[in-house]
Amino acid sequence: MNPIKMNDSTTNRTLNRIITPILLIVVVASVYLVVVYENVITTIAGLLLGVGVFFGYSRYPKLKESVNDGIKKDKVYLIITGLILAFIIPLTTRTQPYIIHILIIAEISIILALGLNFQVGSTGIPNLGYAAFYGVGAYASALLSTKFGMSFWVSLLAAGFIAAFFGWLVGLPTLRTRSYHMALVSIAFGLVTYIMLNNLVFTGGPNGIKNIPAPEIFGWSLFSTIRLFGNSFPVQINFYYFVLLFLVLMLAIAFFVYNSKIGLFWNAVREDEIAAKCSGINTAKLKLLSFAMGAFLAGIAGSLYAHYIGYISPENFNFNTSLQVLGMVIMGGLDNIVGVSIGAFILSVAPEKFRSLADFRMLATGLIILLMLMFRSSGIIRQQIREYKKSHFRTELANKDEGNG
Amino acid sequence: MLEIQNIEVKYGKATVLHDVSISIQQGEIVTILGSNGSGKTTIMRSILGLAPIVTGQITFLGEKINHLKPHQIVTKGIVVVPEGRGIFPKLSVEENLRTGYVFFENDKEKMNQNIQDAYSRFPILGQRHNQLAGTLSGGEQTMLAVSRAMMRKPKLLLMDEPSLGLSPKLVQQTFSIIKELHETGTSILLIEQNAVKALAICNRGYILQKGKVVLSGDKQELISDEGVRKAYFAM
Repeated sequence: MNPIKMNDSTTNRTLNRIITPILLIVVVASVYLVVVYENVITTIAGLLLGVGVFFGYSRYPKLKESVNDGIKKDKVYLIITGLILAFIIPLTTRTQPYIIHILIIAEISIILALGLNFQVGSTGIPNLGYAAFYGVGAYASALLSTKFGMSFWVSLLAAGFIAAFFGWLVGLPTLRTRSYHMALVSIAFGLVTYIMLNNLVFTGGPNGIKNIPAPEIFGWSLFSTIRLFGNSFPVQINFYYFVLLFLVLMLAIAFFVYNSKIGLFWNAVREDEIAAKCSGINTAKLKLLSFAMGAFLAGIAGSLYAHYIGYISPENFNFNTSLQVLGMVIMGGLDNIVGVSIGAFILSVAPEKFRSLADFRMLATGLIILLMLMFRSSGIIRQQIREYKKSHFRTELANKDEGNG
Repeated sequence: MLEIQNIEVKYGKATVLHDVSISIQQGEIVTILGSNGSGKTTIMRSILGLAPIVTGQITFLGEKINHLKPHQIVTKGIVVVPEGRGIFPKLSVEENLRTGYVFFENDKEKMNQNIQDAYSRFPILGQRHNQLAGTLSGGEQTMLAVSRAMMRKPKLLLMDEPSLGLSPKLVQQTFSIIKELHETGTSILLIEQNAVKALAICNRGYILQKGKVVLSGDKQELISDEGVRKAYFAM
């Protein structure tokens, strides 16, 4: 495309293509070391490896350029590799159900963070009461399936739409309030929801809801053990793949929305609302949409969580949870889907891995966020410019100009 | 094409516009001049449906447009370049252009054609299509703001103080961009403080003072008017 890049030596290009897989292997190795092994030394070794790769990437522009180039060219292969890895890794740890549990929680957290990113990242509306949508989804799904005997699939969809309705409702004040005021409104909504869940009779009060049935697929419960080739797998692995399915779907939705006009217009609203109005963007509709969609994802995540754990109580959905999800989005990088996913993964796995530190584990998590924001305040990966096809005429113009100059 | 008839606008108890009437014909550049606080921007806001109009009405191509929402007014063919250019600094040039082409007719071919038009009008934007708009120079930002507005092929372009806060060289550049746009057949309503430059390129003008139109007429009438000469040309 660009004439300058055409003249680059071919060795450089092959290097670009090799370096991405190498980096991928190192990253996967570090994740594997941290997540899978129950050992402080491997955890630290994995962390150092990961941080080292990251610093190398951000400090050396040449390396960064090659990696970015490689990622752009081999996008399809990378996605396939990622999917295969996500499929294989839990199989290697089937003797440790706890590790798979951590991975499931990470998957649910990623779905949550993707939903919050629509509001905080794309549209730039602060939301400090996001756990309320998560809770509404979880409770709606749990109540429908325990008290009304609905099937999991009906409850799941209902949870999504009920949460989306609440999202739309909370979105209404955003049409009039902004920044700090909106933050207060969302905190209030979060608190009200928490207190309601705690005090209403039909939600079970502080005791929550017990015995939420596991999802069934064509009459086959996810709580049954699979036996294959003489090996039995823990039930968590069923859930892992089940939630993975949803995660892939949600990621696809998030990418689609980001690259569509909706994602672009959300960004326009975030940058300058008056200017967005002047361009003819219906800002009110878009803001409500960002709330409803974000809440829909939270509702789905809540339903998955409720049916996986089998027990929910108001404590799962308090202000703390809102802050954690917000931390994931900000640390990952506002409005970068890959970044947000990485942020959610790190912040949901870290507290579990620091369990050996006992009382200090939240301190360690806090330290990670603090260091992260000190050295990279814009998040792990910042928002990238959308690249559009159809660039032939642009290149033509650029070529013409270079010929003249 | 645009008729503002006897509008009165109030912010709370304060009346900002008293009985203002302005009209723009097809293919004209009309300028509204006035000092700070004279109600220039309020006129812009009331055309866009952002200001509370108490009495009077605004019609565009024979259709009443007050009480419409901003995005509906834009679909009628009135597009605004807001004060301070209103570009989206953290989006790329191309993303900025694409925000100018909104839902109601989802025609990708047409959008690409319009982007191409923008890049051939200002080739520098084509070269920088992947650059963040906030990193462009002042003149390029003005080009971008104008190009984004032109993505809709507006019938009427409103410009709110395009020269505000720009260096003399950029002011010069901005006005030549406006002149070029007018030569390609766009009707323009230009709201300005820089009377000298605005009067040089306009067909007609209105002078606003404390929310009232105190003088109106064509270019020559305004330039030769005693009061205008005193107030704006210091002669």
